[in-house]
Amino acid sequence: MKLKIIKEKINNDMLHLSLIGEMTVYSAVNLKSILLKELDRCSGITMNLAEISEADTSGFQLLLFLKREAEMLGKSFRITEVSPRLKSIFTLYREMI
Amino acid sequence: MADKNSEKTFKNIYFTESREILDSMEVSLLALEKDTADEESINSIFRAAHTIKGNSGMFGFGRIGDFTHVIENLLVCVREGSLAITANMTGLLLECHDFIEILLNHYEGKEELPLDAETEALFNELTVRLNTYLPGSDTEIQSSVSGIKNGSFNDGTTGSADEMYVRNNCWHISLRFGKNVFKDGLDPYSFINYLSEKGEIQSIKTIYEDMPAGDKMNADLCYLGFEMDFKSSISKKEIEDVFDFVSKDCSIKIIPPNTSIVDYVKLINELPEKPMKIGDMLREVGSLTDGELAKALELQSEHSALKDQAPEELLMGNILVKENIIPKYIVDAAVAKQENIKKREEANSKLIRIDADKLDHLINLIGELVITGSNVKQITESEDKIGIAKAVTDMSKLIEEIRDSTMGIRMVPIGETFSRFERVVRDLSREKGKMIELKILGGDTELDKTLIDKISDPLIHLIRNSIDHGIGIPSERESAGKNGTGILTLNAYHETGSIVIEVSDDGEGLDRDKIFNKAIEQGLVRPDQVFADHELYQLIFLPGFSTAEEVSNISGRGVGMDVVKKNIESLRGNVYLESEKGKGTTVRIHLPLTLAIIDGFMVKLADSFYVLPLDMVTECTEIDNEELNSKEGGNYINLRGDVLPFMRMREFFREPGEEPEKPKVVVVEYSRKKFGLVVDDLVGEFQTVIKPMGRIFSKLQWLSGSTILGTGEVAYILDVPKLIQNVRDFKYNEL
Repeated sequence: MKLKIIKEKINNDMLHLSLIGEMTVYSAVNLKSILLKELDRCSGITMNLAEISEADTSGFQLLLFLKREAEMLGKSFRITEVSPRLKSIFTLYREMI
Repeated sequence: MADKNSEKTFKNIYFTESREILDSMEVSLLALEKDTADEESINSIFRAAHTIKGNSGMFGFGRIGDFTHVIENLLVCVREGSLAITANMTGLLLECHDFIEILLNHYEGKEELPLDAETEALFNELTVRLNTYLPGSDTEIQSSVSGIKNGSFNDGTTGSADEMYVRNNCWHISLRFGKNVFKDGLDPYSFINYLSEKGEIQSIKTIYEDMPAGDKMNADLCYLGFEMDFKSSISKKEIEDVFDFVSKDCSIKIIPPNTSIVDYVKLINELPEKPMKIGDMLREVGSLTDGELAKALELQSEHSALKDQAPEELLMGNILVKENIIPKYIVDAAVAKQENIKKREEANSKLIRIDADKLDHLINLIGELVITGSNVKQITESEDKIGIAKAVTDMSKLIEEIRDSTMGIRMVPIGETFSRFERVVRDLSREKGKMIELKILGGDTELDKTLIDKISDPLIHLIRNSIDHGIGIPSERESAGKNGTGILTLNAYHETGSIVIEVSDDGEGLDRDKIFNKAIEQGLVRPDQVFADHELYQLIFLPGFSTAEEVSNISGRGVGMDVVKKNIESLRGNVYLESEKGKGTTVRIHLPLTLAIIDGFMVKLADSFYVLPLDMVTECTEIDNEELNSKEGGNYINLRGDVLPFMRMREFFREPGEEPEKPKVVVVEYSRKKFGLVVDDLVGEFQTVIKPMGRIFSKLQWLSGSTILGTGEVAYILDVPKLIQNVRDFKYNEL
């Protein structure tokens, strides 16, 4: 899995994650379970996706999913930065996450 | 893409050609009406109907084909002699002719849509009326009529569905990707991205309602769907092709632009999500407006109500929907309709038919020019100065000829336009219960194609006026000692640099006194003012004055004459009116012959050059300075016994300094009046390319443009009609 996750705890329960590498269907299942677990444990997540070199629609779907999960759990979910590749996906789908 | 273009081109040709055929059909019909035994006309009408039928079949415009087929049947009987032409029949055929035109317009504008209810009704009415003329057993007629009625029933339903067309010039595309798309190594992104290169995705909405929450969600399955509005000129097939690769794994629903609302109802029914949800999405994406959505949901709920009661009926309903309401998408039906029409209109006006002889002549001249050109090249290498001069002269002569014949290509005889008015005269005179004969003179007179197009509206207006108010009903005319049949004359001829078109009638004529009184009433003139007849008649062209009812009741002329005048002036033309009470009225339109390049006549004044249109210059003469100065304000000279008003151009342009000892007088003529322009010197003939003046100079009416001389200097082109106006005003001011 060509993906690295750097975890940082900001004050209290807030979690800041920096993802580096690929958000494709190959990593989707693993990444989903990791992120879902992290979301469970904290009160909110911010994500830096500036270093995502490759992404596909499954990655996009995963982000949609996380956003919806966070909403349902009453937690915050925010993306601070996106890579050009992700940005092009967001632009095509006209979806702001 | 190439195929689609060529299909479009062929269709354009079809429409242009069909209209031409219709024009000639009309002429023949009118001729037939005058002489019901005219075999040549019958044959040409038959040929017209036959050709239109054949061509329509080729392009799949079956309805036009069906209709012309009935006409053809009738004409076959006439040709065989089993049926005689009557006045009623020609009238009916003229109506049919008009209807074919309606059909053509319909299919050119929105070929993918069915006919609207009104057109359908007319279609059936005319078919039935045509069939009543046909000999044969009653049952035969009956069956054909009822057959058509059946047709009308089916199409009638589509006609009413017409009201429910959704006004949206985008394709609506619904995508629901299969769960295994990602696993199969396919990425929806690449397909949608590819689609976005073929047009413009106006809006798109991601649908992920089906995605389970929490642990149940499997991240390598695809739960996504998209609703989008897509604006493009590609066909449905091409859109489908985009998703061809993923078609097994994806459900695609494509709704063409401007389609029936029923299609959306179908979509709502077919999509897995709840109707309201989809409705909201459609609205959000912009495919449906609120009103359209309400209608769709209403229809949808009716459908599902049916489902509970009688499932079979719903099935029937579905079949009906499938058969009738889904428009037949034509391959290239996608472009927003209105834009399409506009484009076509533009394309049409850019097409121009050229006489093959004219083109051959031009090609011939170009050939000569090439030869002369190489001759010039060769000869310049030698020292033969005389030879060079000769070759250059030859070449410039050729260039001039080419210019003339190039301009000539745009020239079209006006006769065709004139004969088109025959129908207007026929219809209007019947409507008014008058007998009017249209006389056409000078139909061979050629004028610029664009001018012809633009002049035909004002002409129709003038013709209407003449019929409406000028020519009286037969009894009135006879009691006035005239022939019961009025004569309306259209005439065209060339006159010094302009083209004159006359519309004249032998009707009542204008009532001078009434116009004068009306003008006083409206405060346009003072009672003590004295007018020549033609000056008084010009008042009619004033806005407001023309619409006054009293005037139009008494003398006739009026409604919209100001518009006519404005239109003609926008073509740099003028309009005059002559009338004699009890004898008739003539409206004379003067239009400039010239367009972008004119033969000019250059004169010099102080240090500036001015160009006059050569066509308007009749002669040049010399005059003594002393003689000019001795005139003391009365600006007239004696030209071989005639009085010639003149204007000193130095005075007019406020050039300081005196004229030379022997200034020259250029005599110009416009609309039968001669004037002298006093200039310093004559330079001579000069081919002039007119460049329009900037907007800053738009107030300078007596300049029609400028041109650049060989030396790089600028010369002004004088607008002679406006100058003449100025000479007159000058005179009035001084008095």
